[in-house]
Amino acid sequence: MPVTAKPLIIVTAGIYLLLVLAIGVWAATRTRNEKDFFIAGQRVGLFVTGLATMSAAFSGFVFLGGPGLTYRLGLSSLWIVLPVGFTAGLLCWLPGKRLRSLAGIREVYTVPDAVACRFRSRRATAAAAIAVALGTVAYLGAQLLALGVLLQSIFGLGSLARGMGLGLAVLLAYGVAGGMIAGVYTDLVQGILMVLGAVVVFGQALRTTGGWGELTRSIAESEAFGPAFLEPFGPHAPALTAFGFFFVFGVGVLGQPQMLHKFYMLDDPRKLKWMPLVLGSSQTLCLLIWVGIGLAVPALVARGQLAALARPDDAAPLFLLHHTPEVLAGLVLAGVIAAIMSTADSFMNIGAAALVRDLPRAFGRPLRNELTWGRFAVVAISVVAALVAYGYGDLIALLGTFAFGTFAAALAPTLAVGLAWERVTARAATASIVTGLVLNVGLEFLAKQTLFAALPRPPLPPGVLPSAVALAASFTVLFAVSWCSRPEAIDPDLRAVLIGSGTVTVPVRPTRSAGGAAPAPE
Amino acid sequence: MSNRKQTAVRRAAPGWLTAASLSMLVALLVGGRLAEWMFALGATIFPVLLIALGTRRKLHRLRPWFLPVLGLVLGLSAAGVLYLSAGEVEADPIAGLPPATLLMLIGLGCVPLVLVTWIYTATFDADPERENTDG
Repeated sequence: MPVTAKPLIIVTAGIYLLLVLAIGVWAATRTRNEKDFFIAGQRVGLFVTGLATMSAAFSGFVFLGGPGLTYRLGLSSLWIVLPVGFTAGLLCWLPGKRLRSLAGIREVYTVPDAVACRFRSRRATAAAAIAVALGTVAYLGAQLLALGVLLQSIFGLGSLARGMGLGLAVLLAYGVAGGMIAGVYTDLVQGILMVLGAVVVFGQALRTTGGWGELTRSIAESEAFGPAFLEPFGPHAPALTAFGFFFVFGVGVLGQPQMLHKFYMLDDPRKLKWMPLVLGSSQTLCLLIWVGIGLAVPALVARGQLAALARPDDAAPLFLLHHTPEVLAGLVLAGVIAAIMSTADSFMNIGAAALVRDLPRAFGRPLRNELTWGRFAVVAISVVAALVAYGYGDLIALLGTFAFGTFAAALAPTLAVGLAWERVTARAATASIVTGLVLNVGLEFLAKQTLFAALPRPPLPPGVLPSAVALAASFTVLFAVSWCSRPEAIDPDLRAVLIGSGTVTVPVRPTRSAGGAAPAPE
Repeated sequence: MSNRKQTAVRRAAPGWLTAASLSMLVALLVGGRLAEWMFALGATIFPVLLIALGTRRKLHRLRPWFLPVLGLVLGLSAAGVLYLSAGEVEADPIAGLPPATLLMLIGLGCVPLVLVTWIYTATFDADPERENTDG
């Protein structure tokens, strides 16, 4: 529905977009070198890092895709987000503390940088960089698709392409100029908006539907949805699908560069102590929008107060535009735009780093001016992602699941196990990354492609997620090759911060409360 | 649990993770009712084994019950959800939700959130002098 009749929504969303642009301009004046551009100069505090990690992880996928997926699958969609209970701790216990400690003793800006340090292998680094670049195209594409859907609804733009074009223009305007400094501070604003928006919308969803009891009763008693909608496996997600979501999103989080990248930026590794609290609680609060709108819209449809949705991804925009007060809708829609843009800007930066820093270095040809080339790369990767997303033709959440699965299958085993277990060799890491990448992309292609009739469907039992197969296979290959290879030597300082054997002192940027050096944190 | 045994937990983790990843892969490729149970238990225990691999002696010494309890909570919740969802038990909704859904939300979401966040923070900087010199 065009919202020209609701000017407050347009004004609020417009003010928000201007604020983001202003942060980009401010950040551009503070971006002087590659370290500023890629890891915000490593001078970001705990609260900003925690909220930036949350807002980079939660995106259009959660704020638009989540309610859409719940409308289609019922409460079985929650298997995707249930692992939030332990993922923040898992991230900090495994790659988080190690990456931050590594950044204290080596010049590492990206995930492939960490792979290069640990394994001293160009093949492993190149494989990681290719995985990051490919995954970025899909993940950024999912964000641009979500942004297009939303801006089309808010501004009544007439076509999805126009909505995506407007969103891309704003993203490029602040992402190219400000790099990660712009990204991380817009993430802070966006993170706060996301949490507030999710809490308020959950309350509004309950109020609109008459409370939790009425809401669930409407769904359970309706013909369109029925009681199965509220069951753990619902009408459309068998157990292998549900636990596949749990596995991919619970363990695959360890391979998500948009989250891992943020650990490099923390000014003091001792602040990691509070990271699971900040990250876990903010993520949990944000998920209220997934549950709130995801259940309120089916309840309204069941009662005949809303027409059945032709496109499930419209669930969130429709609820906000039709069933929330105008000012609140404006603020929450700004929060949703925030969720999408914060993830998108992270990926623009990570994808650019993969293209202009990681790949050239892996092939032994580092670029002279990575900052300038990085800005060109942001434009290139964003345009490619927009084109891929426009041609994908499915739910935002499904494109997001594929993208998440690509990072998970390719990178999680190497980053989770490879950084913590000294037996993992360069050959094992390379084999694992290639296995995860090829299997996930290959199985997804076979499942989705319609161009070549002779090609078979993926040879998997019903309900099995290609991403889950790729992730399990990637872990299996990593362990199998590691057990079969001869152990390789690790530099003593790396061994100390990664494996935890020996001693090392990790430098900390001077802060107001503490300066000098600090021991490597647990 | 003695210090030696606690460090052994971390040393044993790669072996258990190898077995778990292989079992899950087989379950996903074969399919069927048994595969559902195998994969469900593997998927819920796998993160616990990863934590065992990623943490140093500090956690194992200060909170030796943590990993077994987390593993039990996740594993039993997964098994309970599978059992209740098989339709063999008739149960009235609780707070508007089927008991299996409630178990899913509490056992696989809320309890791990509280437990993991608390233990991570509580053991982060305990006895740092000793912990930086060993694995």
